[in-house]
Amino acid sequence: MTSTLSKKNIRVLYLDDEENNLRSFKAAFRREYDVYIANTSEAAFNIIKSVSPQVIFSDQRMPVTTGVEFFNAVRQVFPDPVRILITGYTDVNDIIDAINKGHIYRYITKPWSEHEVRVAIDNAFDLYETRRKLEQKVEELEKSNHELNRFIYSASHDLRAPLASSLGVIRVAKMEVKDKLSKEYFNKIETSVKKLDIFVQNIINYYKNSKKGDEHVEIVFADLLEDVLESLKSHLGSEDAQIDLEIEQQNKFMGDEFRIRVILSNLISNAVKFKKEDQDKARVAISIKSDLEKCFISVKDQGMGILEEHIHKVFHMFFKSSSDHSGSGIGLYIVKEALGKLKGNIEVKSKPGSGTEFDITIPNHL
Amino acid sequence: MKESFKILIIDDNEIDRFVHRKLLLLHKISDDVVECNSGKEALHYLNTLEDSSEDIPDVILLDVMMPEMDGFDFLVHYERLHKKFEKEPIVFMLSSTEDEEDIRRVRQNKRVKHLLKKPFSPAAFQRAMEKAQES
Repeated sequence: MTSTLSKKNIRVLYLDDEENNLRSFKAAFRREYDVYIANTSEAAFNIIKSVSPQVIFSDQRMPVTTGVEFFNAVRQVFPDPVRILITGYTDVNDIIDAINKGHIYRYITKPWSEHEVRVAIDNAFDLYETRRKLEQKVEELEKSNHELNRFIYSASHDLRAPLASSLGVIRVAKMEVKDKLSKEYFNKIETSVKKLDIFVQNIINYYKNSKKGDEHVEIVFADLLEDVLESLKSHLGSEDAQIDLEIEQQNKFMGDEFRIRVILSNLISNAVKFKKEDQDKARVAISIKSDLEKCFISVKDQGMGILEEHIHKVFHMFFKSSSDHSGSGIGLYIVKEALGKLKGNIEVKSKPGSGTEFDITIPNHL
Repeated sequence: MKESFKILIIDDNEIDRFVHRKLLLLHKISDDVVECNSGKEALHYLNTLEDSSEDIPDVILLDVMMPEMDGFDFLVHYERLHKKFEKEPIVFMLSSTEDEEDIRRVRQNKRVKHLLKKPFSPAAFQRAMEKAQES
């Protein structure tokens, strides 16, 4: 029978100071399992070292060490084998304690029946195998995770660096080239490269947001906002947006800088980008107020606004409310995801033709 | 900014060096630019300068990501060497990625005044310059 054959791969160790018990155990199970026996804990340790059994039985009452003590020692060095205690009814307290502390998987009372031991071995082996497979999976996952992290880190640089170089060359060309048609072409190239650039950065941010653990550092909103605006300026060419700032930071604020930065820069860049056709300058009002518990951020524009039937969809991935705009449809999705990680909140109010307001709260991890 | 700065660019990317040099020139920030394509070359160049040399740069533009010796490695070596100079160059770092780790390291390094994002923006450079000169 195949089931009997496959059981042969199960290695079982039995430790007991009484030779009779060892002999009858071996006689009962040697045909189904690889049975090893030991009459001292030293001998048992040697066997564990050389054959690594998946299941270990031990008698509780032995002259030098008890079964619970033996298992506790085994566990420190060989955590993998599943441990089963064989005991009389008299040692109840010790056993409960041992089970609760995780030293043993289960116990079997004396005198044991063959059937009971067999079921115990099979269950213990299943547990052993399940654990082993789980460990393997975790290891594989960690490895691929690590590789993915490395890949994203280098890809993000290797993708972004040539884009930045191209944008730089275009910037130079637009200043040096006098021919009107050529200038027009450079403008078109620049628009496309910028679009790609924003998309690449969004993807990197999306990935970082989903992977990165929370890291709380002190946040000075005035500095952070200055940084964000600086980087948007060189990026969007939003030099000509009118941005009103109001920052009231009363206490120290501890939060995840990467995510707050991503949230701010996406909301502000949207506010600048989605101005009305007839507006020559985007007008954006940013207000940040923070206290001991949370910060409230509001980003309000006077731009084109969002249609009512679209407003519940703006946080969906790849949703674009207008086809003629440069959005990639991923910015607000990332904002929402980042806020999810921060256990923050976002609300949006909008009126087509008069503007949009995003209100955000983020807890202070002081 | 009226005066023209002496600027040392350390970047392994030839196109970026070209862009920086051009933009500095076109925006009349500097017509006196020295280019080095690695930290090693830059250290060598700085080493050849006399303590009171006219050629000591006012500004060092240092790329973060370079093979062999990256920007931060360069700074470690630079610390040992720059002390003999009579005037202290202002160091800005350049990066094409907004990496949190880089931002933090720049903040912790008192030698570096600012992390400039690529592509090089003359306006951002001038704002950073004003701030660096204030402090």
